[in-house]
Amino acid sequence: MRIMRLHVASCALAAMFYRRGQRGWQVRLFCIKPGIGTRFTTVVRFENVGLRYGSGPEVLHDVDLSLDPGSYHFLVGPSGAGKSSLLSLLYLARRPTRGLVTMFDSDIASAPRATLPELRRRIGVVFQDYHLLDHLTTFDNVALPLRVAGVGSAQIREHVMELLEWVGLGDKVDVQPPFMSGGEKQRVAVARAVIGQPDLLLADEPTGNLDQAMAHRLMRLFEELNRQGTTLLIATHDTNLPVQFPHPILRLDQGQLGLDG
Amino acid sequence: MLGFRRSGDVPLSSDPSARFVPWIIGTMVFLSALVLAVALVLGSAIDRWQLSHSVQLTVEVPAGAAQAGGVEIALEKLVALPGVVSAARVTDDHISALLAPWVGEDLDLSTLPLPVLIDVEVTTPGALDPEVAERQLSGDVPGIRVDDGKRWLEPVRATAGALQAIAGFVLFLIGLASIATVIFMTRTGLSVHHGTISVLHQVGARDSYVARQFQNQALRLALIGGIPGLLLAGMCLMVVRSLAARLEAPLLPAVSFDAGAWILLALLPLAAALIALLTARITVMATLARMP
Repeated sequence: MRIMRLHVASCALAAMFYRRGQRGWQVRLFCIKPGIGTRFTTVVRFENVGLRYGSGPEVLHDVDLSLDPGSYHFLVGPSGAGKSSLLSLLYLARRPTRGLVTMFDSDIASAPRATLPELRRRIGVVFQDYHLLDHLTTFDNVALPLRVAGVGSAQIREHVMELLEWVGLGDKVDVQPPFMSGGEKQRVAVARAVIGQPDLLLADEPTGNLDQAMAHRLMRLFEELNRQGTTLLIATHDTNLPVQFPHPILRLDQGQLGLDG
Repeated sequence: MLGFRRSGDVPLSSDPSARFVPWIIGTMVFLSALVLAVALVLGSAIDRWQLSHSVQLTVEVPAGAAQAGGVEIALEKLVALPGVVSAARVTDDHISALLAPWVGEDLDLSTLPLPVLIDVEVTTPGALDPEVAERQLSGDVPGIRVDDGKRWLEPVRATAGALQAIAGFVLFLIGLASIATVIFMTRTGLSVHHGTISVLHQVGARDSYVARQFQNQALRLALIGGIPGLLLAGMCLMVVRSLAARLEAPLLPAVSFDAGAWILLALLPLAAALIALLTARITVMATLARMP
């Protein structure tokens, strides 16, 4: 029965995107995020990347990583291995200390700071601790990526309401994060990450605070987004996830990255 | 639906600075208005003194020469000079009134060897050179003096000018203090809301988007403080004006403003708001530019 519901949920997402496609969703998305239609050959390419904080030791050494468009990887590794540091490089919160980082065919190490916002709009991030803005409502938290991109309020209203309905938060539109459960916050964080239909979706322990049913539903959502062409990288401690959803595993250990299997 | 109503993306209105900055800006605008009013009053007084003395001269005929008919000769010669509109002897009554505060009202002026004064009005400022006129008249009226008031007006004007410069410097210092306050408020806000700003950057916000949050808050706080500050200063100026109107001191500058001066004073809160807005924007942009 649960599997049936999950299947329905998954199909509902597919139907949502399909419906939008029929109504000219691509055209409207082009307005929302000008870069979304741009072709690129590589989503992420790291070559000999190193990262250190201040004058401390390197937390990442000689990382080589390549994520092609539409790929799906898990990132695993023990605590302190450098997963969060690697993700912070991927969502452009930091620049590498050394090495070459190319994202969407742009060299990040030498990219002017002014070009980073456009690149960040192509990346959706689900943080382990959500990173929601407590003073904003659910609606405003989810609308944030569209608002900073300058999308009109009518368009924002339409898209956000549609997505909130789908993630089951249609009745929590005016609620602020401090008054929500962990699962609800997680869904808000996911909705915010996917509202702009990113080219790359990064998730840090996305199922860590969810019950099994909700975690499964969330993973189905990620599967569906991947089918729509979104590149995914999921950092997790949960060894069951790669078993249930078989995708290549990147293992990070003591700052060094390797591909499992 | 309530969900469509939203506050700013950075919750600056809950910051402690949101409470004290309007008071500081209000005080700054209040002080600026008073200092600017002083500068404007001095400026208009200087203009008035210069204007009245540039078309009016005083001719002084010594008592001895006056008794020898020098006053009539001087009057006759003066009206014949080019640029002179009129020349009239200052009456004894007027001189008595001028001297009354010092010598009393009961004194008979004819017992004193006072010089006779002649008021001369010329067509335009500089139409009559006092030194040239004095040379032309001294042949017929020995000891005669022609005075255009420059001798005593210059030091007064210099003093008033120095006071105006000091007022300008005080305004400059008030402006600096206001800018420092806004910089402190903005840096505090950037520090307190570092996490929120990181989220905004992560979802693709440009620095200018973040700066807009801070500059709008600075503008709002400056207006909230600046407008009452100006109103309070306006009330103080009205009180001073009504008190000054009772004074009988012709040399003191009149506390009155023309429309231009009032407009200048009214622009102070707007200027404070504009300075706050620009300071907040520049501070945010400069701070964020140092981020990776």
